[in-house]
Amino acid sequence: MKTGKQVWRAFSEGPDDQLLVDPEKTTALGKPIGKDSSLKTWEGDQWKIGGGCTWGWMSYDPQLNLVYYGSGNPSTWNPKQRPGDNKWSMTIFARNPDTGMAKWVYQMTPHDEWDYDGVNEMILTDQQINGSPRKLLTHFDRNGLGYTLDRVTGELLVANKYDPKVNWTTGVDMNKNSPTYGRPKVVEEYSTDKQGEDHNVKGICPAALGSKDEQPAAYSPETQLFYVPTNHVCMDYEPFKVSYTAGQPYVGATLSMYPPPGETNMGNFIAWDGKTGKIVWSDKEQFSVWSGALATAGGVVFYGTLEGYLKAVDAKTGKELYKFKTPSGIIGNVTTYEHGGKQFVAVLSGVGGWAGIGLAAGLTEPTAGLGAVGGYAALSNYTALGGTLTVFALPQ
Amino acid sequence: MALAASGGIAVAETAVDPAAVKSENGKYLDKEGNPTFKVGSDGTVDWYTYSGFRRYHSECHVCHGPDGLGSTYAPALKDSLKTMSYADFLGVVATGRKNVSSSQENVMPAFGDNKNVVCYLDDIYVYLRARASDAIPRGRPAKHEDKPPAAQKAEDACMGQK
Repeated sequence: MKTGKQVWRAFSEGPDDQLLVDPEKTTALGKPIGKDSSLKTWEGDQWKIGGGCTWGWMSYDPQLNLVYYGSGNPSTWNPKQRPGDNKWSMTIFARNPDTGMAKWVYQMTPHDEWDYDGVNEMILTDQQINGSPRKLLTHFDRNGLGYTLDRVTGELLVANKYDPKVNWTTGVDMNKNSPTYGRPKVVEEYSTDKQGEDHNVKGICPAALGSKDEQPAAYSPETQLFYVPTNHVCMDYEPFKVSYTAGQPYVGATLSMYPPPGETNMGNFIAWDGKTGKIVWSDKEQFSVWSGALATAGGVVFYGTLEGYLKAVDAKTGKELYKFKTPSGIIGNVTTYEHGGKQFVAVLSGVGGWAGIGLAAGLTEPTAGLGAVGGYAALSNYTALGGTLTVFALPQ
Repeated sequence: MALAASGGIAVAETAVDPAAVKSENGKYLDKEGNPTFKVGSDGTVDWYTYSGFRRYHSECHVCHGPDGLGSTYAPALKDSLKTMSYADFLGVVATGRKNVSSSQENVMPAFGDNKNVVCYLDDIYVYLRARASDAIPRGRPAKHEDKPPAAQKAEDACMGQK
C-alpha cells in the first residue's frame, strides 16, 4: 500500500502458478484440490478467455489473515462452448493477503448455464452452531442458495434456497461421503446446456440477475439474523454460438425476465437464519429490492425500494414501521453515522442498475438490457430518473 | 394497413422490392437473388430474420440502438436499409465508416474480423431489411421457422466447431 507496486496477482482460471494455489495445501471441502485443478475442467485454450471476473465485494479477517471474495461467471453465456466444470469460476476464495496463496476454495455453480456470478458479499460472523462458537462466512449467491461456511477451513455447513421459487436445482448434496458432495443437483428441464444452442429454455428461476445481485445484505448480532434484499424473478434463456473479438461484446445468450408465473411481485425483503438456512420472515415488494440493507442496534432494519421508498421495519418481525418516498428509485446502500452527538440515517436515490436499466438507459425492448427491461417495464409508472441524497436526523 | 405479408410491399424509397420470390435451403431471396425476409400471416418469421434479430442485438445495437432505431451517434438502420443495397451493406459492415468533419465525429469500426458479425451478415441484413420494410414490429419475433441444416452447416464452417 505504500509504494503502489504490485505484490501479487492471482487468476481465477489457468495453470496452478497463475492461480496462486498449492495442489497439496489448498483445499476444497476439506480435500486438496490437486494439480491442474482448473486446466482439467476446460477444453483446450478456452480458459484463456474464461472469465471468472472478480468484480464484487471483498472481506478481510485480520485474525486469520485471510481475504474472502467470489469469482464471476465463466465465458461465454453459451455453456455448450465450454464443456467442463469451468473451475474456478463461481467460486468462493480464501487467500492470504501477503502472498496471495489460496487457503481454500469452494465452487458453488460448476459449469454455469445461467450467469449466476459468485461475486456477492462474504459476510463474516462469529456465531454458535450446536453449542460451539464458530467463525462463519455467509454468502447469498446469485444462484438462489444461501451458503454458510466455516471461514477457517472452508467446511460447508448450510446451502439452502433463500427464495422458495428457485427451481434450477433440487439442492446441494450435503453428504460428505458422496462423490457429488457439495455439488448442486441440476434439474434437466432448466438446464440450458441440456436443451442446447438456439433452444429457448423457459421459466428458469432465478433469472440471471439472481435471487440477489451485488446489493449487500446486513447482519444483526442481536437477532443473529441476516437481512437480505432479494429479487423474485424468473427468465427465459436461449444460448447461441459466439466468437471472441477483443473489445467487442461477447455474451452468447438472449434473455427475457419476469415475475414467477402466477405471481406479480418481483422482490422480497427477508430475514434469514444462517445457522439453519431458513427464511424467518419475508416482506413482499412490487419490484426487486435493489438497495443495500442496514441493521441497527435499535432493532430497526432499513432498506430502499425501486419506486424510491426508504423503509424501516422491525428486525424481529419484519413489520413496516415507517416509509418515506425519495424522488427516485433506490439502488444505493442505506447508511448511518454519528455527528455532533446526533445519529443520522442517509440514503442516495437514483434509479439504475440492472433492474433499472430500462428506465435509466431509455431502452424499451423487453429482451434489451440482457433481458431485464421487460420485467421492469412498469417502473416508469412509479418513479423517475434523478440523484438525491436524503438524510434523516434521529430525535435526541 | 397490413404490412406483414411477404409480397408486394409498397414502400416508396425501397431500392429493390424485398418480396421473396424463391428460397434456398431455408434462406429466402428476392428477384435479384439477394437475401430477404419472409413473414407468415401469423407473424412467423424465417430463420434468418430471427437470427438477425439476435446478432443485431448482440453486436450492433450498442451504437445503432434497439430494433434499428438509431442513437445520438449512429443512424437508424431501419431507415438506411430502405435504400442501401446488399453490396453496400456488406462493404460498410466489413470495413467500417468514418463521418468526421468540423461538425461531426461518427466512427464505425470495421467488423470484418468479428466472426459474430461476419458469419451472420445475411442474417443481420435480412432482419434490418424486414424492419426497414415495416414487415416486423419492434422486439423479439415471437415465432420463427426452425434453424435450417444449411444454416447450421454454414455456422459450423464459419465459426469453427467451438
